[in-house]
Amino acid sequence: MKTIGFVCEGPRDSDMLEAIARHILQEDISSLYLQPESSLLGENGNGWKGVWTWCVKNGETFDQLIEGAMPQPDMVIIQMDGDVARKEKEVHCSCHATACVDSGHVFPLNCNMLDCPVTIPCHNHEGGTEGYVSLLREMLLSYFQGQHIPVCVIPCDSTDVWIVAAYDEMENIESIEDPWVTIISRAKEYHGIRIPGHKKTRNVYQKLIPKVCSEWEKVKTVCPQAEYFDQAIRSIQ
Amino acid sequence: MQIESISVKGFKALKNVTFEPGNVNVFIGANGAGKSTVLEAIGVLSAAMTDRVDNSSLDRKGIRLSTPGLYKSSFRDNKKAPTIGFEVQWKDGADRITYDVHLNNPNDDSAWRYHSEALYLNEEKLWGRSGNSQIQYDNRVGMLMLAQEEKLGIIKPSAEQFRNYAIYQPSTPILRGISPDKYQAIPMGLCGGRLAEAIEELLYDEDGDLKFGDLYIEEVLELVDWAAGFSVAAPKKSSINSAVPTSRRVIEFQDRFMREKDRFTAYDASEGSLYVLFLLCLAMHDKSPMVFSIDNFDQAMNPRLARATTKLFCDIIKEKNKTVFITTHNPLVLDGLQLSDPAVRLFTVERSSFDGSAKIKRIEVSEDLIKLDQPLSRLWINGRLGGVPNLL
Repeated sequence: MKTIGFVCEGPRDSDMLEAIARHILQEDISSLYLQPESSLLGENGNGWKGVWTWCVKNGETFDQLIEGAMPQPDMVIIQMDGDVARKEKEVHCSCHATACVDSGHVFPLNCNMLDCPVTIPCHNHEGGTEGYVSLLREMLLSYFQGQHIPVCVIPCDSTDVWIVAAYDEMENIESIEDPWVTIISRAKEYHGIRIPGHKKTRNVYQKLIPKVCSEWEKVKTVCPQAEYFDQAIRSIQ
Repeated sequence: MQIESISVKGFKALKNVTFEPGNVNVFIGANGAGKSTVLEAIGVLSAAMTDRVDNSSLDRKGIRLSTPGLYKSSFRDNKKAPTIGFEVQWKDGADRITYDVHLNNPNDDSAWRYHSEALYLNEEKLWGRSGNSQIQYDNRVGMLMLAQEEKLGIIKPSAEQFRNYAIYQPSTPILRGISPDKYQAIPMGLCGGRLAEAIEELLYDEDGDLKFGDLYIEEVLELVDWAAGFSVAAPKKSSINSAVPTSRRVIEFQDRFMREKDRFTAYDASEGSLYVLFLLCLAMHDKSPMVFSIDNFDQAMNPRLARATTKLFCDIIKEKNKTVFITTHNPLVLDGLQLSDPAVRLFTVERSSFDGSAKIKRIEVSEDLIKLDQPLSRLWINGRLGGVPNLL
């Protein structure tokens, strides 16, 4: 049984990636939840900031961390949604499009600047989703200099888009913004699955995920990041 | 109704304390510091204000029945105060109301004697009684709610909210429905009796979605994450062993990984989940008191579950504008508190090393605390908040 470490924005993301990994490998896996942490205190917090903080704290000693982990993972997957590049100024702090005196001196998540010079959308990433993927991947993996590089998947606009890819026929699917709000939970039901209060609860997500697995070949065709994730998982078979 | 301050003088270890509560008030401190005493003091105050203070009224509120001499503070280096004093101040709309009562602990029967009662409306004395009053009332009975003066009509509705105050301390066999609750009450007994009935009263269908009070069932299942669902029904041979004593209604659970038709009851269910359901019922049920306490809030809960439950519980209490006082020994309960919200307050209770009296100190989120950038649980564990016993 393979062991996979997950560094994700939240538990719904790890639910999705875990289920797909099991489907690809056609066997159960042992999961190590590195972020959000399984520790009682959860100091990094949730979300994209938690993932970023985890990479900053653990990048330099990643190999040591993995060797010391129990059980030792066969692979570590870092996940951050592409919408972070679309919405959050901090990830564009070191972009060439921005001239900021504090850039490179102050860690963006700790910056208290009132008049941040970053504008959204950032003109440096007019490649759309491809631009966002390379920005975020480069940013996160920059902390792993001299270490084994973990897999870094950037679902655009978020992992929810893989659900839309499985259930619906749509074009330019990775360009759809906020698919949970704009498509999946817009009505009370989504393809017969009730979404009470439009909330992304574990119960609801567990009902949506099986179709992503059964339609995985289709999802991979329309979501390049799904194809990337697939190839990464297959590499540990 | 918003309670602004509570003062206690001369009750057990509370020699002279005053604190300003919010909607959710969490007390931490070493064992024996006086946390439960604070909850009991509020109970005596509520009994005095709305009824009378005797064994029966205190017992109904979940207050320990001490020997009479032990109610009054009795510190080695201090003279005993003549009376035990309680004061509560609350805001009702634009009005500020203060109730002040001084009692003597019982002698030959269990009834406490009223030395004086006074009610102030916007700092002006509206009503009072004492040994010097022209009309002499029965000094074993609280007169505030019984007095017929028309001027009291304005405050009675808000004062009434203190009547059903009680200290809840759920117990596993009672939550499981296999033991009766000595402290019976509606919607639930103080130890968790009638949990199944209370849950049934909160479950309903809204437009095709199953709701539990103000929550969608899916939101509750985030906390009871091993379950696919729960309901309330009559006990069946297929869900509970016939040798197990049971109540008329039982909670039935469906496990996420078991066959859909298989059900089991609260008797077999996770203990922590029953506590979570109990707390949510207490917070949401329309018939639960507007002011109440929970001793040992986090019982039987994994620390992370305690944190998540605390957060949800606080949100519901604030929405319902209830006032709750809770004690805990679990650091992660603190991480579920949003202390930047003035409605949520954290207090440490510590015994003075000088005379042993209990002191209540509010922990506020200062700039210094924010700069430490650490969760409250870690600050507490590291002794930065106080409330830690001086043990090796």
